[in-house]
Amino acid sequence: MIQLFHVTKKYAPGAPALSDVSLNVEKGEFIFLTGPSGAGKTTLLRLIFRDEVPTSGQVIVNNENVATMRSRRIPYLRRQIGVVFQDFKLLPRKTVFENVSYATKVVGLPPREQRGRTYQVLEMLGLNHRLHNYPEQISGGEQQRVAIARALVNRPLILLADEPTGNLDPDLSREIMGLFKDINSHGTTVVIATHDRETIRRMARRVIALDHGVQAPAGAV
Amino acid sequence: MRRLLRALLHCVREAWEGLWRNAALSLLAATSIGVSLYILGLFLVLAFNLNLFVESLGRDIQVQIYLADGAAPEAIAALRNELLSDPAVASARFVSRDEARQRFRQNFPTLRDLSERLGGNPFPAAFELALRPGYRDAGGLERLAASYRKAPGVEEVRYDLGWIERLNGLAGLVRRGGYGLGALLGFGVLVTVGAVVRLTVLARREEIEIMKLVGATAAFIRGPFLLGAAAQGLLGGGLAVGGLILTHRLVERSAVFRANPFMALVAGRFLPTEAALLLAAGGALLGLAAALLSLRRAGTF
Repeated sequence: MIQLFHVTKKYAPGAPALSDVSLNVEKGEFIFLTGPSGAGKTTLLRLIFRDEVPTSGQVIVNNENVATMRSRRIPYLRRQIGVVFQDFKLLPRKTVFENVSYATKVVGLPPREQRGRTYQVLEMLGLNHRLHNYPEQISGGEQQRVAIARALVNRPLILLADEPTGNLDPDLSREIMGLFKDINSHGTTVVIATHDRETIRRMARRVIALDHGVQAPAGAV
Repeated sequence: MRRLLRALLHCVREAWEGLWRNAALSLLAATSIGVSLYILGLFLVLAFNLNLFVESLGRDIQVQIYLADGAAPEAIAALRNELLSDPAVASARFVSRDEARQRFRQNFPTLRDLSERLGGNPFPAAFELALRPGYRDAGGLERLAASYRKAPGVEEVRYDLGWIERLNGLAGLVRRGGYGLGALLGFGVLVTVGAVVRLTVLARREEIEIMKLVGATAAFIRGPFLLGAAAQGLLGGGLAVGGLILTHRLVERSAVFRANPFMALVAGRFLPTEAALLLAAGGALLGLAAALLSLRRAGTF
């Protein structure tokens, strides 16, 4: 589903953010990207949803070369990928329902389907009592669930999450990780960037470790 | 088709909301477009009226074909037939030597005995030609003169275009001045409206980032901004045309206008409806161009 071949990303002369990284994530797999701050986890995720282009090497997502993709194809790549951030990135002037349904509107679904899918995903994430609340009126854990709902509402093949529990307490972190597990069990490929060793240990999934942009040998974590 | 319609509806709704969300900025953009088009419009009104004046003068242009003293009646008849079948000639009036003398006596009564003093009638017979529209410019006149100058029985062909050409040049100068100033102001509008669009984009940066993240196409993101800017432009264009009509009415009713015939010359008539509509539509185009340029720079893709 996701393949990186000798990918290097440099932002400025000096040490690259990623250096000669190669990896293969199978369809339906659940993996962790780990490493300290500045290890290159976020850069790697951004390369996958084509927010960045590699300085050298190839990034293949669902059989498409993302590195050489024309810009007009990017929206269609992103419709196959749901992305969740540590800071949630919710729109403060939209309600929970609007934040999620917005993603369905953007891809041009008919209004009835927009509503149906939004209700469905919000119910799945246990947010149906928060539909008309604004982000500031709900807890951090709920905000992260709204962000996950938005990432899932267009039924992506891949879910990327960048430090999704970074702002949450341990109980909420466990709850969110449980959600990712459920989502993965329905066939969605999940890639989570985190430096939370406890979560990684508890989930017992494949781990790709990065340090200063360099990939650690398999089994080194 | 339905998807396209939905996208269009989205554009209209978002553009409308965007305009009201930043009402003050929208008004600023519309006003800057309006002021520029208003000034351009003033020049156009001036040039349009000067053109009308020049055209009316053109209707009076006459070409005189003076005939040689001994021109044979057959040659004169042949020339008349030729003139009447010429597409450039609207009418050809024959003025005999006697009629020419008579006219001179009427126009210059103090010199009425000139021909007697000169010992005979010095005035040649002539054809006076009126020209059809489209043949009244210097090129048309010169072609006409050249084709009859060598005809049998013709002594000389004369016309006077000098000062009409000078007026024509003045009208062209006013028009070009208007275009020049319009272009300068248009550039100012591009900068102003562009800045307004960039500010709006900046204010909605978060939303745009999320739209891109969930797979919105460039057209979906840009559409409302473009439509909004076009609407601001149209409003500005409308304001300009409204302002021009108002100014024209006020000028028309002023005492200076009535007292001074020159005013009728430069502001007697308003622009034709199509030109006024084009001016308003130009506002929309200007807004659209400014938004296109600034969206490219603001990085909405």
